[in-house]
Amino acid sequence: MKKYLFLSAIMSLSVMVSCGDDDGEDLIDFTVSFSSETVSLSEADTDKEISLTFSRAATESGTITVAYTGNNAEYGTDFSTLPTGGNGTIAVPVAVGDLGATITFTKLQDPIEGTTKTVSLALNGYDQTDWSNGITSSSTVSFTPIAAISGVIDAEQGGSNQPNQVYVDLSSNTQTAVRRDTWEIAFYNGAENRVFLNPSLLVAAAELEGITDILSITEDSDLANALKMNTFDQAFQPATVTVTTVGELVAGLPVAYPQYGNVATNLVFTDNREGTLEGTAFAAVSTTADQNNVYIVSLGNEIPTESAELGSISTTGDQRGFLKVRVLTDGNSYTVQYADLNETENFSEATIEKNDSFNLSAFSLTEGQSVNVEPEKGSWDLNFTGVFSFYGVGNFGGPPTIAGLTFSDYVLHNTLGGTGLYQVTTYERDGDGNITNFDVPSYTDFNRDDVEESAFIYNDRAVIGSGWRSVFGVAAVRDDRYFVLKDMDGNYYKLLFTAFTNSEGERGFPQFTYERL
Amino acid sequence: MNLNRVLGIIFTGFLGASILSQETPMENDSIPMERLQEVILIGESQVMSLSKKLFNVDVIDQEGIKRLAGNTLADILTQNLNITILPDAATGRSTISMFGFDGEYVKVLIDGIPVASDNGIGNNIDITQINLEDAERIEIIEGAAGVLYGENAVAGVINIITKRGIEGDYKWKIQSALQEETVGSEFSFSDQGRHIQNFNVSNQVSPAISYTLGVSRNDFAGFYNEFQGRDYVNLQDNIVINDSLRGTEWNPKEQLTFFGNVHAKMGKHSLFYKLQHFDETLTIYDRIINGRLNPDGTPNPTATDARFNTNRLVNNFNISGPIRGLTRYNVSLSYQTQERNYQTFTYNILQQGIESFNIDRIDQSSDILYSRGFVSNIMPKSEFFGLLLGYELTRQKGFDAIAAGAQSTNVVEETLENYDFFATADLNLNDQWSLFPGLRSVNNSQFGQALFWSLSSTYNFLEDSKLKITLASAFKAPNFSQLFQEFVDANHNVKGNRNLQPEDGITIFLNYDHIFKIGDKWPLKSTLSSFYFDIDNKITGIVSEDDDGILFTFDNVDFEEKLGFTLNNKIDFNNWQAGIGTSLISTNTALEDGADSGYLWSFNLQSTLLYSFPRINTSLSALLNHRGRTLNVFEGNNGREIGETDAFTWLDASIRTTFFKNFDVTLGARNLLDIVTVNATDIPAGAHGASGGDARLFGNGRSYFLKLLYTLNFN
Repeated sequence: MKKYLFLSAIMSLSVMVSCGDDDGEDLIDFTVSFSSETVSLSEADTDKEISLTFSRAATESGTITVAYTGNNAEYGTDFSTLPTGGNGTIAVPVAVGDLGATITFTKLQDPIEGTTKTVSLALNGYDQTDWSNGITSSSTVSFTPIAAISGVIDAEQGGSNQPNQVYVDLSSNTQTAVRRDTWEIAFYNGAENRVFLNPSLLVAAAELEGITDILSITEDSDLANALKMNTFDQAFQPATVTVTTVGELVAGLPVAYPQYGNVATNLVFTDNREGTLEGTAFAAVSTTADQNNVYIVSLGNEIPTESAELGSISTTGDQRGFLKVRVLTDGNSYTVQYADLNETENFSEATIEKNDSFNLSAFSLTEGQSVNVEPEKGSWDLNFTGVFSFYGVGNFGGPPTIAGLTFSDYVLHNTLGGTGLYQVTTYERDGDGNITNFDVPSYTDFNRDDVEESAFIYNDRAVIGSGWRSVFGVAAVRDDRYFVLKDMDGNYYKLLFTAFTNSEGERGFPQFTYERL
Repeated sequence: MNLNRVLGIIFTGFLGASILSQETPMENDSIPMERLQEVILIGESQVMSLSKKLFNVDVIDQEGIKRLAGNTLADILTQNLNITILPDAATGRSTISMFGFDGEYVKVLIDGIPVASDNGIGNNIDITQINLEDAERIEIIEGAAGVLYGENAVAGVINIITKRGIEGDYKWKIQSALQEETVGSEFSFSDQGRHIQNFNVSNQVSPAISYTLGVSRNDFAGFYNEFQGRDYVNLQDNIVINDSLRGTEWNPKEQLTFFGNVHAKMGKHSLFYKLQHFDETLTIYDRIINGRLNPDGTPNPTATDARFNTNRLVNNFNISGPIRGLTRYNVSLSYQTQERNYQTFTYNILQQGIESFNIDRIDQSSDILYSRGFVSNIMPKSEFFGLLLGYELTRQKGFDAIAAGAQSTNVVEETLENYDFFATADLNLNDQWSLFPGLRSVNNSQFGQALFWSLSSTYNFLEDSKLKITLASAFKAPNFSQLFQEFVDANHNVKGNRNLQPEDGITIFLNYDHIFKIGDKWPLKSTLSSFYFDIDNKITGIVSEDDDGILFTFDNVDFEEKLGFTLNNKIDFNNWQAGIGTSLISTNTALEDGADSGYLWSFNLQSTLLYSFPRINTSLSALLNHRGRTLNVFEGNNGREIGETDAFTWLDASIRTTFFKNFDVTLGARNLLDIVTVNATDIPAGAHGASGGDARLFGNGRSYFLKLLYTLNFN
């Protein structure tokens, strides 16, 4: 009997063990890869971060050895690095939990005009025997910009708060990230005298009809004419209000669904979505000073500091307050006057010269100074604003409704600088899920001959917008579209969006791939 | 619905039974009568059983469990006339719908003690998590039983009785079982199908003491249906095409249950302790693939998969015995905990491994202290009057991050306490007529005090026919999320209502049993029942307003009425057993703007046919359960609408045989009619206007099972 008992027990146990844990769920191998095959510095750059990405978080600490070879460049004379190198190698430390590492490359000396200097970096070994090279095991650093014919760009939007707007230049495969709360308004550098608002910070502005003295009004002041405004009540039903004082107007100024507005009487407190000169909330600035009225500016919303739950976003924090603003011009420079709403004694003033190298010159009303935001107008094609706001037609399931709208993951193209772009739609799915395929080439097959010159759009910056991804229902990048772009130098590119989250699922990590045609 | 149709269906039921009886071979056999009596009486002998005196108790015995090779309660309840199992493929949960009431209204007990769930006790139980390997039998009460079994026992009570001791004169019993099942047509030994292993040992230490230890593993690899599994990605020209085909239709889960019990007799007193540890891992594969590219343009597809790990620990203790004469006491104590851990991780599809673990937290937790006790037969000398007095104490501590809202940071542990006292009396007016009044006083830490009552009456016309009428309160307490939910951010304002009152109402149950004898030998038991539920103050979602803006919350503003008729017939003849039951159930509830839906009727039919070959220890069974088309009120895009779910029929069959005394083999098929989804227009729309879909999932297709059980008895 004992024997049967023993056999029976062994049988059962062995069955349980053999059918036990799935062995496919181990961690993947730890591999190291350069995040780009080429890195180039512009003339203005002295430092550049060179990123190494890991296939997964490191579970043990160690050291990566990177070999460097200068081409026409000497370590110590032409360039240096951090961590510091010597004898042709750099030791990069890795701590437990790290997802990547960076080498800071510092240019010590520019190349002589007409010559090139480059440094080749290559992964050269590990002190952990089970670490290995990933897909990109070498990278070339150029001291001068190099033309890129294709690339994969991970725009540095900054995660679920989308704190950055990112300017991307395709021809040099470079990006410039700027926090979107560094500026509220920007002055146009072209022939016309125009003021733009920062749509990525939800800035809004309302003109005070007939008021040209910035110190003459406070929140209690009556408006010259009562304004009839459309809004929404607490139950999201359309409603109208009559606004008679500055304070009442301020209440409906911030961008949100119930933001005040009246399209019929041309009362719109944001720039238009398309970003045309005629569509700004500020009227054209006149060279005749007393034709320039005072505006109330809502300074938008703070960037939240606490990350959102994985998979969602948190982009609009507390309202940043209001200022009175008046802008004057002599045609070559702008003068901006500004003060707190209830200030009657003093106002601040700053003068901003027009600079033809840039589309816009940004200004911080909270810091009282000009800010570098956009790269030179010929040096960017796309602007990943992340957050984007305007007063216009939105879709809330029912009939389209006009409201103050805020979007995320937004992408604009450089219409003021002359970049053209259009969308190629490969298929359409109707409400019942039926798919209609269009007679257009796939992204992969699309080539120079397929470009339709007449399709490029130069008067609407928001062609890409946020429609490249869907966040309701199936949250994913839409695979029904790609884009064709023509930069100011006449280069043609095709663009395909590939991701809007990182691999952990955090929002605010857009990625796209592009190729010159 | 008109009376003619009701009568027609009742008539059909009778006719069905009588056709079967006419086919009866005329052979003498006295076993069936005994078997039937045994089934009827079994409830009364055991201390943890449901009260047979006050309720009609339906019993699924060992045979019934084995016939369907039931590993969990969800495998068994497919064949109950008034029960529909509602599976949720996404969460892996299956809950009970009884008379069209959802699982919130059905109480599930183990040995008379309510079962812990993720965020509550007793009701809304995931019945796939109730392991039956140590179950002796399952008892089912249909109808409100709140006076004896507490709040939420509105539609019915399901009680699972644990096996104890060893049958026969042995010291040791060892059982080992292997069960392999297909899931639809899917099966492989590694990653498809369902694989179950059981092992248990019982020992009769002395005539007074016995114990059992066992383990059961249930590995369900998921139901793929048209989905392509974990390692699927559609790459075209190195670009990920999101066709949503990754993953599985039903998510895979693996359950491990360890159980043990000790049964001891000390004089006339009986002690029982049960320990169970349940561990379940449910894996959810993301159907959307993140198609990020490597710097060189090659794809690096990943998906964020999730895993729920549920742990339940059950400690149940019961002591019972005589106080004096026929007066008995019965006290149960229980400590149970259940926790649900939520983890998400990034799965790298091409490298087939995990890239990172992202979220890892406990989402739901409940910690339950429970005691119930009663003294019965307090006046044993009186033939006219009997009395039972009892108490029930529950202390539930826990939190629910899911109910609190996905983005809520305000997850607070809450405590719910109940102090209940109850009494039932027997008034035996004469030999034929008895009255059973009952009363329970509830004291709940949230809603305060409440009283509920019941009044049953039985009348025995003849030896073979009995009429039972029950009038009772239908009493359901607000659940954890209705009370404590909180999800407030820029776009949401959803809050529970701490001032909710219980749903209260009244039920009437009428039950008429008659045992016919056909040809002097073969008993036909017919039961005709009718019921009516009128639930007031039903809790429902409402839109209101508070400091944070438009508020979504709950209030006691709804109602629900149900009316139904059931006819059951069971007959035993020679080696045959046959049963056929039909029911008509209807619901009336509120639509938009104060209008009523009117009574929406549905028809169900259940039929059982068993045949045994005693000489070769073999039995055959065929079980059929037809769920008629149901009309339901649901939350559509334009508020409450009436939609429908089509009819479907569930057919199970099996053959069971025993050889060499020790080997027991069951070969069978579940869901022979291959039900997967059923067309439905009553699926609520999701948030943000997402449409609810046009079909409900009920099964995973025609599946086959083979169970080998080896039993070894020795001294």
